[in-house]
Amino acid sequence: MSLNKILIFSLIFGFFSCEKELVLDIDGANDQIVINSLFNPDEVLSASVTKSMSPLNPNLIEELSTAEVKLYENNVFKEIMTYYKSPDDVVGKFYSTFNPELGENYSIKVKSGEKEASTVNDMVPVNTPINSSAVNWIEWGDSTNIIRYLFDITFVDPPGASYYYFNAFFPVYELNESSGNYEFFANQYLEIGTNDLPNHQLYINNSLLFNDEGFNGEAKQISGTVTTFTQPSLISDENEQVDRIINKSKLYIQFHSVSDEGYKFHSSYAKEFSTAVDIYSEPTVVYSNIENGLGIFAGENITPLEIEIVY
Amino acid sequence: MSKTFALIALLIVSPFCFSQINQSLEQEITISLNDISLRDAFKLLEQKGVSIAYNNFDELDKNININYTKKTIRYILNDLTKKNGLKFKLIGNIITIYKKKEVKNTIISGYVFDAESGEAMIGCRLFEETSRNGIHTNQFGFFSLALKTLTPDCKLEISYVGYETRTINFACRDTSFEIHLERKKDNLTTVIVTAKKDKIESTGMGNINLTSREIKAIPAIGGETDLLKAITLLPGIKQGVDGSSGFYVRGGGADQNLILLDGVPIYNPYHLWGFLSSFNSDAINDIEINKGAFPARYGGRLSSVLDITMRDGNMKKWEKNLTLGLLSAKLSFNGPLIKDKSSIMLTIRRTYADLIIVPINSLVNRGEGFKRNEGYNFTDLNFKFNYILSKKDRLYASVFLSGDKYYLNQSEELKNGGVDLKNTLKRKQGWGNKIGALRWNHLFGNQLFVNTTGYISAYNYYTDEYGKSIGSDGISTIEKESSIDYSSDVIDWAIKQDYQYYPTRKHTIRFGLSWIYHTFKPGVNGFLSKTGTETIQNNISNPTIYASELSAYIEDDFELTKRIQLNLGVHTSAFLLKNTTYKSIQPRAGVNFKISEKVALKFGYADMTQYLHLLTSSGISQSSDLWVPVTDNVKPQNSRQFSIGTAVNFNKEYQLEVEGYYKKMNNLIDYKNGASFLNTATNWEDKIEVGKGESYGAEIFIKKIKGKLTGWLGYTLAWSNRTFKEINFGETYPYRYDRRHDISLLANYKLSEKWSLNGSWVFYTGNAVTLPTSNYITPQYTSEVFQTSNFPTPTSFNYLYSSAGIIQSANSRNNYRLPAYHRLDLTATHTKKKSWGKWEMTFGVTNLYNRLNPSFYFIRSTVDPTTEKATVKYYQRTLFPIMPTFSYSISF
Repeated sequence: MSLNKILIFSLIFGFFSCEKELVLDIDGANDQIVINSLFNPDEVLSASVTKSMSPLNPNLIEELSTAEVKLYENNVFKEIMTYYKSPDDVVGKFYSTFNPELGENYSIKVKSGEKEASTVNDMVPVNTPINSSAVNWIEWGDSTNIIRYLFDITFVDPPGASYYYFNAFFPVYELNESSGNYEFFANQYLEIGTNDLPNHQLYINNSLLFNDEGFNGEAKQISGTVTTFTQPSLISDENEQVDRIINKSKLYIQFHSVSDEGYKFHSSYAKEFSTAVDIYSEPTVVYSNIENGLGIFAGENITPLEIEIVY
Repeated sequence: MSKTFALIALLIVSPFCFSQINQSLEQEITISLNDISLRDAFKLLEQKGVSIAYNNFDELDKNININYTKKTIRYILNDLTKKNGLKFKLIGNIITIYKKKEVKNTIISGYVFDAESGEAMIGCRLFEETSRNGIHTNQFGFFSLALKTLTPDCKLEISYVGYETRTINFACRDTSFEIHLERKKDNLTTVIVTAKKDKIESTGMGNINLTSREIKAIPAIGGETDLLKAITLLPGIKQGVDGSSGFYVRGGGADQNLILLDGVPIYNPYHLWGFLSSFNSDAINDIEINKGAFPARYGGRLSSVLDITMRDGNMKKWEKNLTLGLLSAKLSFNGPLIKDKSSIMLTIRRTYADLIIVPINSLVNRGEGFKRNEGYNFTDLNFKFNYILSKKDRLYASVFLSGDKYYLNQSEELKNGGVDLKNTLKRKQGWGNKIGALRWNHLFGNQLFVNTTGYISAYNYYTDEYGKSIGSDGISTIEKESSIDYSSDVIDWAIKQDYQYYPTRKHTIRFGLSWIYHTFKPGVNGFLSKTGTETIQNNISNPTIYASELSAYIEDDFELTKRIQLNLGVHTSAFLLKNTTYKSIQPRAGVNFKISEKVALKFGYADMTQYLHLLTSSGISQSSDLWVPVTDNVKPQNSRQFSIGTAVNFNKEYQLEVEGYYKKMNNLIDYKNGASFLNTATNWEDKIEVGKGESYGAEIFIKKIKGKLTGWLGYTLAWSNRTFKEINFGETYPYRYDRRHDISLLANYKLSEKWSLNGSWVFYTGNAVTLPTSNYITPQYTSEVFQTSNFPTPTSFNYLYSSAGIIQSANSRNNYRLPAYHRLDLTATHTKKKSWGKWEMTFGVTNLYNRLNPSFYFIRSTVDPTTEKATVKYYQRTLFPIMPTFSYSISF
C-alpha cells in the first residue's frame, strides 16, 4: 500500500509538479488561553495556564503566570488559585488550597490581560476498586530478547457510563554499561486481548483506554501482557537473572476512572498522538472543553496497584 | 363611416338573430321522414324556419325512414346527424352540418441511422405533424410512436442537432421505418452540449448529453481528450484535486456515481492514478449524465449515473484513425463485416511513457554494481461487434479492457570491509478493468422493444514488494528475504432485461429486472519474512464476500395534459448476503410543466439506495481505494433528493437551465479518526464510522448551442456537510469537496474550415482540509501522582502526562480552506483534408497563466544552523503548472 506514496510522488510529481510555500491565514486562531487540569481527590486541585502558539512558529511555551485564575465549586466562587513553579517544573501551575471532593462540580475562569477563558463544570468520578490482581506467567529467553508478563485484574464497574485508562509497568533492571549500574529499563508495551475489551484503545506511553460498553455495572476481568525488549543475557549469572526479572520485580498499575470529559480528551489525543507520523491517517481533532480557549479540565480517580510476582 | 355604422348595427342585431334561431331550434314539430334522402329531410326541416348549410357529403344521399312526434328541431337534427356519422353546429343563425372526422390509430416504429456510417442515432427527435405527436429514439436508435390520425396522409419530421432535418410523407397506417439522416454540410456551424430531449417538453432534470465530437472539442491536459475530465466542466459536477481519480456530484462521494459502459458498470475507470480516464474518446458515441431526478430505470448509486454508449462501427465503409499525443498513442478502426448487416469497432490505446523513460532511467541510474529498471504503462482496448439478425433482432458483443502497471527492479552490490552485500528490490503495482458483454435487441410487434444483456465486469488492484539481501564474509553467508502482497478484487456476473413499451401516444412505459452476483475480495495481504532457515509467513485477509443484487423497475413517461408531462416510477432492489438481506423501494418522480413554448418549470424527486461503498481516505481518491459491499453491520447508503428548476429556450442559439436541489444522505461511511488505510492488520469494518450527509445548492447553465462561437457558462452555488457521531465530536463539518462557488466557462470558435480554437476556464472555492491552527501543551500530572502510586522512576521513559507534551490541534474537521482553484486552458486545432482522408493537429497550453493550484500540501520544518531557531512552513505541490499540449491524428 505504501507504494502509492512512492509512485505518486516520484513519478507524476517528479515529471511535472512544482512546489511553493502555501501561505495560510491561521494567525487568528493562535494566542489563545490554554487551561489544563486533570484533577483527582488525592491532591489539591491545580491547573496550568499557558498560551497557544502558531504551528508555524514553534516557540517556547509561554506561561500566563500573572493571570487571574478563579476556582468555582458548584458555580459558586471558591477562591483565587495561586501560581507556583518548582525549579524542576517546565511549566508552573496554579494551585487551590483543597482536594476536590466526590459529587462536587468544579470550574475555572481565567483572565489574562484582555482575554478571558473558562472551563466547563466537571467532577471527580466514582473510584473503581480493584477486586483482584495477579501475574500469571512470565516468558523470557536468550534468543528472543524479550520478557513477557501475563497478568489479570478484576474490578466491578459501577452503574452508568464509566471510562477508564490504566498504566502498567514492570520495572526490569538491566546493566547500564556506561554507568555500571543496574537501571530500570522501560522499553515495553501493553497488550490486552481483544475479546476482553473490544472497544479498547491503545494509548500512548504504555497506557490503555476503554469504556464499560458491554459490561456496565458488572464485574470485569481483564487479561493482558506487558512485553519488554531487554537483554537478560547482559546479566551473566542465571540466578541473578531470575532474581532481577522475578523476585525484584513488581507489576505497577495506575487504574484511572475518568470523567466523560476526560475520556473525550484522552481518546482524541491518543489518536492524534499515535497517528501524527502517518500522513495517510485521517485527521483527528483533539477534544477541548475550554470556552474561548483550549485545553482540558476533567476529573479522575486513581487506584494504584503493586502486584507481587508469584512464579 | 358607413362601414362602422354597419358593424355597429350588426353587433346590435346579431344577438337578436341568435336568440331567434335558438327559439326555432326549440320549436316542437311532428314530421314524417319516410323513404327520403337525408338531404331531402334537411330541406323539409328548412321549411320549418331554420337555415341549414352542408357540403356534398355521400351520407346526404342515404335513405332514411323515421317519424318524429312533438320533438324539437334540435332533437331531430341531433338524431339525424348522429345516426349518419355527421354533426351540426350553429354558426351565426345558420345550422351547419359537417362530417365527423374519423380517428385512426396508427403505430409507426423503426430505427434512425447516420446515413454516412450506418450507426444508430441516439436521442433523435421524430415529430408527426398532423397528429402533433413526437418521440425520441432510444439508445439503440429505436422508436415507436402511436398516433391518432384524422387524415389519410401523415408527415414525419426527423431532426437531430448537426444533421439535416428530414421529412417523410406516408400513408397513415402501421409502418416500420429505417431512416437515414445526412450530416449537415455547413461545417462552420457547430452544435454543442444538448439534452437528448427538448428540455421544454421532457421531464428530465439534471441530465446532460455530450457526444464524442463535443468531448473532443474540450481542451485537455497533454492533448489527451478525456471524458471524465470533460464532464467536470458541467455545473454540479466537481473534480477532486488534480491527479486524483473520481468526480463528485451534488455533494456526493466518488463512489456514488454509477458509470455504465453500454449498460455495464465499471468500478474504477482511471489510468495513471486518476490522471486520465480509461475511456478512449474514439470509441464513444454518446454520453448522458443524470444527477437529479433519476428515472426509475437507474439504481444502485446515490448521486449520478453516467451512461456511456460505445460506437457500433461503420456499417458502410472502413474508417481508420491514428492519434499521437504527448502521453499516448491510439489506434482505432471500424467498418462493416457485411455491409449494412454487421460491423465491428476496435480501439487500442497505450502510453509510451515507459518506452521513453525506462531507457533513460536505466542509463541515469546505472553505476558500479547498481542497476535500476523502473517503468509505468497503461493500455486500454474497446471492441464491439454488432450483427443485424433480422428486422426485429440485433446482436451486440463488446469487450473493454484497461490496465495500468508500474514496476521497479533494482539491484545493488556493496563491499564493506570484507563483507559482500547484494540487495535486490522488486516492486509491482497495477489495476485494471475487464468487461465482456452480450446484448440482444428484440422487437415484439412494433410497440415492445426488449434489450437483454449478460455481462461480466471485473476490477482488480494489486501491489507486491519483494526484497532480498545476501551478505557474505567469505566464510559464511546470511540471506534475508521479505515480501508483502496486497490485492483487492471485485467481480460481477449479471443478467438483465429492459423493456420499452409504447402503448399509446401519451405513454412510454419502461420496465425491467436484473440480477448481479458480486464477489468482493476487499484486500488480501500476504507477508513473508525469511532469515536463514527461519520463515515467518503471515496472511491477513479480509474474508471474501459473495452477494446477490436483485432489482426491478417500472416507469411511465406520460402526457397528463398538453402542458404537463410526468415521469413516475419505482425502483426496487434487494441485496442478499449470507446472513442478511437488505431491501428497498425507491419511488421516483419527474414533472414538467410547460408554461409556454419557450419556458418550462420542472420538479423532481428521487429516492436512491446503494449497496456498495468505496472506502477512501480523506486525502485523495486513489486506485487502491477499496470497494466493499454492505455487510451485516454496514447498512446500505440511501438518499432523498428534491429538485426544482426551469428551462428556457431564448431562441435557437441560447438555452438557460436553472436548478435548485436538496439531498439528504444516510449510512455514509468514512474512516474513523486517526484510522489509516496503511494499517492493513485491522478489518476494514473496524476502521469505519457510519454517518449522514446533506447537500443543497443551485446550478445555472447557460448554453450557446449554434453558430461559429459555441460554449457554455456553468455556475454552482453549493453546500455539502457531513455528520458522524464519532468524528468531530458529532458536530456537523463541511465535506472535503464542499465548494461554495464553482464556475466553468467553455468556448469553441470555428475560425474556418481548417482552424478552430477551444478554451476553458474553471474557478472554484478551495477544498476544505484539516489543518492544525494551534500548538499547545498537554496536561501534566504533579509528581505527587506517581509518588502516591510508588511508581519507579524511569531513566529513559516518561509516564503518561508525567511531562507536558505538545498538541498540534485543528479546531474542527475540515476547518481550513485551501486557496481557490482556477485555470485557463487553450487549444487550437488545424484540420486538413487529403485525398486519402484527413489529418488533424491540436496544440495548446494547459494552465496558460501558470496558476499554481495545490494538489497536495505538507509541513516542512527547518532549523537555522546559526540561530538554531526552528521555522515551520506549509508547502504545496502543484501537479499542473503551465504545460504544452499536443496531439496529431490521421483518419483514413
